[in-house]
Amino acid sequence: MLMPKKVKHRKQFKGRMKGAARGGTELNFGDFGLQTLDCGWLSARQIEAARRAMTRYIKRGGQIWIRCFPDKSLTRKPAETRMGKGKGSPDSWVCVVRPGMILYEMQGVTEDIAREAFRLAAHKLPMKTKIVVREEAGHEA
Amino acid sequence: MAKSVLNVEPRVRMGKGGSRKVRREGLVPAVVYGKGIDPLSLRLDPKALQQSVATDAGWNTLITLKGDGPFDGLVVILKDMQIDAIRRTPKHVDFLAIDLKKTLSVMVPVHPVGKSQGEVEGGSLQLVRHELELNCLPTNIPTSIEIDVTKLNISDVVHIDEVDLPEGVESQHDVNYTVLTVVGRKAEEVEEGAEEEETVVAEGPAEEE
Repeated sequence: MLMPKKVKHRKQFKGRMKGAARGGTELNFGDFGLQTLDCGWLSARQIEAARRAMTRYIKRGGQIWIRCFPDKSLTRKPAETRMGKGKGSPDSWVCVVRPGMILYEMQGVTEDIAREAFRLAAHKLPMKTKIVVREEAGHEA
Repeated sequence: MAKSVLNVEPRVRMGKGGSRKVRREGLVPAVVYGKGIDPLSLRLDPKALQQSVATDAGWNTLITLKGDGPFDGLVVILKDMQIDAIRRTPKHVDFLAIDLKKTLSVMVPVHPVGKSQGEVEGGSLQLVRHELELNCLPTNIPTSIEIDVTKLNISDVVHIDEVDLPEGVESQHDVNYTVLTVVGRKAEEVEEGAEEEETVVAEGPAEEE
């Protein structure tokens, strides 16, 4: 599963998710992408589960890019522990996702296969998503 | 060379308040700028814009602006478009006024032609650059750069120096970067292999808390 190699601070505040994504909203690598429509925390397990669902479906036909990375640590207190005595220990990693963010990109497969793979992947994710397709057009540099 | 005509109106109120008012009316705020002219604020119908760039050239269509104002008859090219991330509708449009006799830098899409030998053997074609930055006259902009990939085997790479560009079109680059490549392993080797190979963790956006 994805997690940072090294972090400056082990424990983080919860934070607030406000507004839409400011970056990562365009297709940069592939021809098809899965875009979120809601905000939320995406756990490393969910990212991995969705990736496996896609990879299994497309077999070895194409290439997948993961555009989200779980860089926020969540802490948890042990079971049957009284409250207090400080913050719990790091337990899992999540990615903070805001509406509009592209989570996965895909290339080298037909649109039908990509749509089905993304449909299967979307079932593993805790938020609404939609599929975006690259528009083929040039523009002034 | 694709051409089209676009009807635009001058925009009086500037800033975000003015832009929001324009958007509430179902129009899109725009600006036109270029060498030798003062920037002009405009507003336009998004459907008309969509129709004007619905040509083979796409964003590289030469658009002639029509309307009451100093912009009437100006030949422009779509420079930038801010798009709503979720609705995919334009939020703001930038036009660049161009001189038809001077070269300009444009992004032209890459189209691989044919099926590569590597794909037949079980690999997949990876477009590293979907668009190339080219310098040419506005009247000479190619609709796309076609690259014949039929002879490419697995792990073969096409660099920018190997791409045949049309006459009058140049590519300025310091590094001989990769345009496309055929990746993957041959079909016989696949059976034993794990399924995980082709996933890449993209260096995505840094989500600041």
